[in-house]
Amino acid sequence: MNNLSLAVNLIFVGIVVVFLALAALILVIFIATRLLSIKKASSQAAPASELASSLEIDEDEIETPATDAPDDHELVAVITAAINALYTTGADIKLRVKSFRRIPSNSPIWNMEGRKERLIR
Amino acid sequence: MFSEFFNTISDLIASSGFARGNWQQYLMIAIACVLIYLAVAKKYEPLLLLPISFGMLLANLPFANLSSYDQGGLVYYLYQGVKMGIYPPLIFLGIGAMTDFGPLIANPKSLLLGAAAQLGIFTTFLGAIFMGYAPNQAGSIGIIGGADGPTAIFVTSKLAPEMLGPIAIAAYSYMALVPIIQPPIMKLLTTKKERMVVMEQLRPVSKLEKIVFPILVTLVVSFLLPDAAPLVGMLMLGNLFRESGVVERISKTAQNELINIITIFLGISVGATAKAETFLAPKTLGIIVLGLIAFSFGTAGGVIFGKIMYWATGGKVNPLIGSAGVSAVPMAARVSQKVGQEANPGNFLLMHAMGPNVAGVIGSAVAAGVLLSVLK
Repeated sequence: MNNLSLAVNLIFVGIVVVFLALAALILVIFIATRLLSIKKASSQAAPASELASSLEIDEDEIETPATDAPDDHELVAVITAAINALYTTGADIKLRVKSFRRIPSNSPIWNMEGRKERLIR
Repeated sequence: MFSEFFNTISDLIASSGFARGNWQQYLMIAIACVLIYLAVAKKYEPLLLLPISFGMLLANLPFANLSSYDQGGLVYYLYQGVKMGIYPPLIFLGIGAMTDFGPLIANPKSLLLGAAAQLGIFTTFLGAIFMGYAPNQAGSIGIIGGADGPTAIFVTSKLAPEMLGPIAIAAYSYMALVPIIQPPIMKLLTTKKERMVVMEQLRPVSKLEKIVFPILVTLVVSFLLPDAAPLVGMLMLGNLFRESGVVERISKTAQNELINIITIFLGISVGATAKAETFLAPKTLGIIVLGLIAFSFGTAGGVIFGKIMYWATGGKVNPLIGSAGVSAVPMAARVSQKVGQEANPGNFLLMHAMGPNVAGVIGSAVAAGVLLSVLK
């Protein structure tokens, strides 16, 4: 009878303790991931603002032909990949282009022709 | 001169194993050969079942003194690593170095499924008490339900070392049978609609999260249950070796050479505890029956909790991943994937099931800590 009461006791205690221990782990993981994501967001805010201004400068340099709406996704992917390659140094940094607009080109026509020739070569 | 020659020959024959062996030893050798066949031909957990079965064969060779209890022999000294609880934590070190906890970190709720699947341990404990086993023996039998070989060996070596042989053999045999044992229970407890649930993609997990995770788990679990610290601590140390990225050669050693060497020593010495006088007893049959019950209840517990999560989340969690809460990594996760694909061919549950699967490793170590703290 003693062993039986021990067994019944152990079932309840065992299941409760295992659940409590793992629930405590869930809470700790949740808090840790929140803290880490806050830290990551604040450390990425500074380089992101530098990136924003240089994005405008780069858009000025990039020649974007007039495109129809369906081709914009491809264009966004190409722009994002190019900036990623140039500016990101760690695997954790991720970029997402939220919007882009064509900035009227102020380059002289000779400069534009020269760039085209270099691209063809 | 001839008579001396014949006397010498007859003395040699009289001292051979053929003259002094008994039928129980021959039967144990035959059982060992069957287990070797299962390990080699059927590939039932061969990495452990092969050395265990050969250790069993060595231990039952008449008068060879190769069992783990025969003092002074090679196997006796190898067995000290089991007796002192050294080998299982070292195996966990290797397992931690091989495990990716990313799916678990991405969906921490999986830990609850890992907890639910440990139901098999405690219900089997009750069943073993009913069958007349002492509490320490019942605890060792119950831990089979954790579906974790090193944990089963660790707990049994401390609570009931005389039952180490049959418990280790039962644990590893049933782990190999997970693809056969689990699917009928999973289908019985779930509807087709539930099995068809497609889960949302898991979020990406950063390297920093993967580095912080093992440290946090070690601290939380070890503070709550110090008896679980050797297993959980070494599991997380191995994982930290892997995720830190700065100790690649140590990580590779833990995953390969270290775990292989310890597996050999553990397998031989555990198998060599299975002598005829202890193995060929009615209690061994009870262990085999209870081991099956432990696995079945563990699967059922995980699936039932998976159903609770299905209802609680409005149908976002597929209950099948609950069965992966038994810590047979990665086989139980593959079973969830397979059964899920039978219901919905386009469903990929493997990575979702890996969360509860690795959570089960932690859960079974915590359950082991509970058993050790109450029954030791």
